[in-house]
Amino acid sequence: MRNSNPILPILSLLLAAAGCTGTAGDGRRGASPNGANVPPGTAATSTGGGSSTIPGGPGSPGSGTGGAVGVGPTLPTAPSGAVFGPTLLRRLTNIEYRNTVQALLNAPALATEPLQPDSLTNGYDNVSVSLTVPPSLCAQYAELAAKQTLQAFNVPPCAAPSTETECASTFIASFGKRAFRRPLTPAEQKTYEGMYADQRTRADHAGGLRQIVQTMLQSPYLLYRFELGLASAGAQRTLTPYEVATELAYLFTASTPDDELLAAADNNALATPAQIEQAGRRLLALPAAKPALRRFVQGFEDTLGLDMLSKDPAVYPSYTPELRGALQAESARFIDAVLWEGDGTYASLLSAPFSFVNDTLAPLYGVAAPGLGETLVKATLPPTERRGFLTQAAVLAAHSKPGESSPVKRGKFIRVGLLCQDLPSPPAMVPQIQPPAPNLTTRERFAAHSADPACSGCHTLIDPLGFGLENYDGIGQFRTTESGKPVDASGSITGTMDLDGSFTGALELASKLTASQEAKQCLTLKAYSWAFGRAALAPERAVVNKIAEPLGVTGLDIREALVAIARSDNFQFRSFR
Amino acid sequence: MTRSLLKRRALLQQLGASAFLAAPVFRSVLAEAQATAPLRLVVFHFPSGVSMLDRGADYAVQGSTWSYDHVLASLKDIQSDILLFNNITMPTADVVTVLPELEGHGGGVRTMLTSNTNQAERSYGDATSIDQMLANAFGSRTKFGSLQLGVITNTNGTSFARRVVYNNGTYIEPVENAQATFARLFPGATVPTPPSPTMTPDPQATAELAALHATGKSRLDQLRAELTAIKAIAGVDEQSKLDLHLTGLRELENSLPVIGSTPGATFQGVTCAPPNIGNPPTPTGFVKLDNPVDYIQELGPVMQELMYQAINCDLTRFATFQWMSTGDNNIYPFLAVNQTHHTLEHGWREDDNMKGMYDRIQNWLMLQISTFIKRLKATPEGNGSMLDNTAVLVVSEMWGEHGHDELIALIAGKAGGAIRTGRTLDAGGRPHGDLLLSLVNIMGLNATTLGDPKYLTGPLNLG
Repeated sequence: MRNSNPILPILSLLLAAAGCTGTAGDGRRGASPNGANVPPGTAATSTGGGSSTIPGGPGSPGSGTGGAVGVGPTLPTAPSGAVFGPTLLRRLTNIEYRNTVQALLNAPALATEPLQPDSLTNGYDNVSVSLTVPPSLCAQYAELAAKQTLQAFNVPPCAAPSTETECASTFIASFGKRAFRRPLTPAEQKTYEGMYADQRTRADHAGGLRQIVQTMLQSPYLLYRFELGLASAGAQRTLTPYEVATELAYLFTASTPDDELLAAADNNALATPAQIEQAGRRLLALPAAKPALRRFVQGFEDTLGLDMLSKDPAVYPSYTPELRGALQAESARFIDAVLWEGDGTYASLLSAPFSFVNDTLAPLYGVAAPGLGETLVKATLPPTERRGFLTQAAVLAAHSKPGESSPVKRGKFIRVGLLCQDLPSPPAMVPQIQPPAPNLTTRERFAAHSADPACSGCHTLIDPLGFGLENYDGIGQFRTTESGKPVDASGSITGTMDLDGSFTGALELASKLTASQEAKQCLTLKAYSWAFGRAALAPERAVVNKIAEPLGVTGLDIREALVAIARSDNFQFRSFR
Repeated sequence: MTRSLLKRRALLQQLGASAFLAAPVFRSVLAEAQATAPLRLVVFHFPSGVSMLDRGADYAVQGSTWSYDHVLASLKDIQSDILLFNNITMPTADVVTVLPELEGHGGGVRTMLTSNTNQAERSYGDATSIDQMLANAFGSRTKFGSLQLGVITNTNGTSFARRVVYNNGTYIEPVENAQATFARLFPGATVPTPPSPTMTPDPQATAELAALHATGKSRLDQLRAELTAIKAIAGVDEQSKLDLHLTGLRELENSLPVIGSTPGATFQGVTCAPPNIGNPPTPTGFVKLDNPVDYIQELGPVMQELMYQAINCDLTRFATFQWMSTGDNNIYPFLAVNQTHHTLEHGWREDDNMKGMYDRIQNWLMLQISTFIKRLKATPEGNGSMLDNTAVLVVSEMWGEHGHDELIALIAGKAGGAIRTGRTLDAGGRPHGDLLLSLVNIMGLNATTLGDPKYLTGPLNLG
């Protein structure tokens, strides 16, 4: 499976020591004893003679040579014939950027950040194709870098016998490595030393260092996560240890690699699945893993947009900003409890009999207010009404209309969001469902969908799923009657692998999902997309299902799913594109 | 601006503050334009077309002429400055072979300014919208090659299915934050403070400016070198992403203080000044579907005013403004609209109440856009007005029957005399790419094709 090839000279050089002093040259992989040829124009090809300043490290063995070929650490070779995801440059999300700057400067990020919001694609904010740096954002990065440097960067002391120039060189090497998540190449080191010297003609030592920091905080080497790798065979690439460290750090902590992870990369100790797993598990135990994984689950629940979710006050006068805040807090606290205080499984997410309420939220769930104001307290919810995230007000409200529930939104969420099935677009001119009326239930109004043959084709796949959640109104309040009539919460599922059949109410639906392999595969697929910042390619679905299979037996621990993804070949290998 | 303020800024800069705190507003870029005024293209996109017909009327019988009596009422008094279009089609919108989400809305919005078909993958091939074609050719003449602003554009579908501006396949999102836009357009300005035209250069201030320039340029040179190195090793799909990033660096460089420049007295229009934007709401998170959106009435006009001043100060000549998102899923209580815009677009023919709500949204939008157009018209330039040297294309990605067989479009302004206004032009069913081609050529390109050439027949004569 995994062979070992001698690593590129430049990389071994980088791995040997941060303060290396190689001479510029042509570090083509083709020169390796294995004779792996590098296709022209790929990342493993030097772009222009010996003076190229393309840095070593992630995906860019363009400059520097001098390490003895065949000596030093080795990188695994991609298994032949397998399909891997494309090489990518993934811009950091705003949250990742903020965490990164905070870690680099070891200071809280500025309270007001001017970065424009990332857009959500399919519920997530980390989809690589949507993460670009338009001119407006480029200017915001520049502004933020300036402010952060000015306000949060503490200039390290420089004491005799070191000269200021020596201190600057040391700082550039150490800060540069942490900012770029890999050691600087000798050429880069020299360039930044030159920048410092140039700035010293206009400013003092501190001003010179600030110039370095301000530049690196907006450098593309910081802004983009590199997943370019080094040529393995043909178009296949093996991610460098630093790229793997970066991948792990952002996956499990939404931040930059810590010193221990960078040290592991230095020692080429992120080369095997076991090593990657070990590093991943260490990260999972860090406090930063909690908000990082919470965000994944919130994306899965499609509740990341909740802070902007409004409701019609005429219909739902109790939906105040306080209640909305309570819904968000409850959802977050519940996810944390399942992941870190419970068994972390999808089954628990679907079926936990408890949640967390405060005084604002308790009436919605019909439980006694704890009497502690905004503080959330763990509570057992009415067992015939609530179990798991599907019955949580945050999730139900997010998949509703402003003034009513929505069998369509909810049905679509279950089929597309929880089962990962595709639905065709609605036709151009669709008949309208009549607005809420005093004498009709939601279900009765939506019957038009099954009556009209133009709609029924798709809506038989959607509405009967959503009807099963009709016991919950547009903000997730439990109801047994609507418009003076009893609620009919019977639903049915068709067109699935192992869920087909009828059910009544959310609790039965949750039970069906808990037992479903298709649902587990879908969660794993979402985790996979989240880990890689892109939709899975069609051939990758088989890989995902393979990852999900053994996990299914133990109830699919979400943390284990992510670890399994990190262990997979697809974590370490790419196809250059 | 006083010298002490300038010195303070220089000091901040030395301490590491942004180059934007310096004084690029006062950069003279218009010496060339004294003889002939610059040509400009402004595009307003608004979603979901208009209901040009009475409810239940037969489109084929009645035709689809815009009417100044209904949705265009706010433009009635300047109709001599307006060219209406009739009978233009958008066939490229319906060529969709890849992604189902591009059908209908997405297909329309992507091709609207590119005339590309939707066969390409998500990156949208090499599609370049007309504003970007012009910015690529002439954008270096102004501080910002182009400008993209908008309001509530994030509510429908995936990001690549709701964007109108593309450069070599990569979309450019509009900015919706007034404060950030103000800071970007008018760095250093805190309140509307028109510059003193009598200020004389000061040797010390000049030296400080030179230091600011050198410091900022050193950073930008390094960042550009890094991006260029990355471009050389990145894959084909990432190239346009990196190009877009490089464009941003170029703009930053244009923002650097200019050595030896004399602040003041270099603005284009007599009214050019950083606008007083007040304190409009800032969209901070993701806009969720079905949101009641009242803040648009406060934020929208401010964003338009920022765009007006960007044009007026000649900070850019190519600007796009996106009002809402295609398939807009918001509701607008301040217009007594309690169903989503998108729902109304689909259903207005069925119900008087829905048509009323739909029309209220479109009338309000047109009123906003007319305000911008009238601002240009009220701004003297040469022997006429700024509007005379501008083409303001107002366009929607589909019309109120949810189709693309009739492009909803008008142009305000004469573009230096190339466009004959005050009439309706019947295009005889020609594709909208022809109109786009005419526009870029009027603006100075010598283009023979754009978008998908299969859907072009040649420039439309607008004169």
